[in-house]
Amino acid sequence: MSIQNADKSNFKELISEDFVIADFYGTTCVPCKLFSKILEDIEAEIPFLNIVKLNTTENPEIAEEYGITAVPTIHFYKDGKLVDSHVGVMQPQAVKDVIAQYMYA
Amino acid sequence: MKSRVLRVKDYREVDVKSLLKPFVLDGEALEAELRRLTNPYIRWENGTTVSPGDQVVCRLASDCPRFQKEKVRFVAGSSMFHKDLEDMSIGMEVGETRETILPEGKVSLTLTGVMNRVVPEPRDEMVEKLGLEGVHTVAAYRTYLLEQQKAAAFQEDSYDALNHLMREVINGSEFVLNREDWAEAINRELDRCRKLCRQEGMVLEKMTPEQFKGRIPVKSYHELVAMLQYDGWDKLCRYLLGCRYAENDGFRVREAEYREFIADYVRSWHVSEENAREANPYDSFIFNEYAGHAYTVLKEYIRKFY
Repeated sequence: MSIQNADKSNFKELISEDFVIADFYGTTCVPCKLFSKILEDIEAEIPFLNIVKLNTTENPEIAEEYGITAVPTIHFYKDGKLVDSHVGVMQPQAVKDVIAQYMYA
Repeated sequence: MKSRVLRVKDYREVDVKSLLKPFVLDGEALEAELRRLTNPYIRWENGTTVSPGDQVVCRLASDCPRFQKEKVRFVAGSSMFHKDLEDMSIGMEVGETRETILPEGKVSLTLTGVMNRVVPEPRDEMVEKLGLEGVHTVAAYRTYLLEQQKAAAFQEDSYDALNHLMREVINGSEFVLNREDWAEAINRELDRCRKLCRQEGMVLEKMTPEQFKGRIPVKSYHELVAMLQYDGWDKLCRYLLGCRYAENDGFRVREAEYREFIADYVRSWHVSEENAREANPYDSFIFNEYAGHAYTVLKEYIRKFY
């Protein structure tokens, strides 16, 4: 499985290499659950994709550090550098478009 | 509270059927959700020939640096790496080399490995593992998903009918509405907004249109007061209706529900319990819950026709 649940102890390390999708979500956020399903579908299609999920309800300090003001927020990192971001649910094709743009760049 | 309801219009006398859109099944969404059941059970097996959806590992050779790579991994047909090269890989066997001319130049692709994607058929044990109460088979899961879809559609499709029904019930009922109760309801809500703003370092009366944006759907404090005054009568009516319905159906709001609400609020908004309680006083919570109960009762009635 390439979906990993992060916390404050490992988040930075998990986004530091390769192409990574970081999903900032909240425990009681309904749209977050919808986006979570979308990510699971993408992971089932591209198992070598790195996906990191961070629960902002349980890790508010990380959310604050990364400027997360609403959930879900999706960050796309390439070797630790933020290359794209989106607030709100992203449709599968939109996620794939960003993957296509950066994963092999 | 001096306000009271003298007579409640029977909501069953109101025709809501004509206002309800018929439920239309989204078969594609249902099938997608069923397919999702198999996601954790997808296997990747070493293979020899590439089919769409398989993981491909290959060596690329080209004069173009972008396509000069010893080891590239992609999913055939996903279009996430390079559509033409992915399409060319389909049908290739491990060890085979193919060439193509791209706008960037000639590219040679040698297939060094392939992992075939094996998706199992949905099975009852997969459903069992979901742990859904009373849902143990694929057939039952399909029914469950259908009901979920219907419930979600109802939330959206019932909006007009619910507002119409509420309007009819309020207009057809008789209330004694006390001006002080109305003012108290408005001031309570204003005070709540004031505290919320203060917690964010703002003064409600001095907020700018930019500061209101995304928080409250008004552009100024005066607009907010006007909005609360306008809605105040109806909300008071809804509260009285909710209380009357509660007398009949046993609905009660207790301290435990308030504590649970505050705990949820603290978790969702990352605020202290003190701030959560300040922004949501117990009397506001009770008032809103009973006003909301009037909607709940009418919504359950409408659901019968959906």
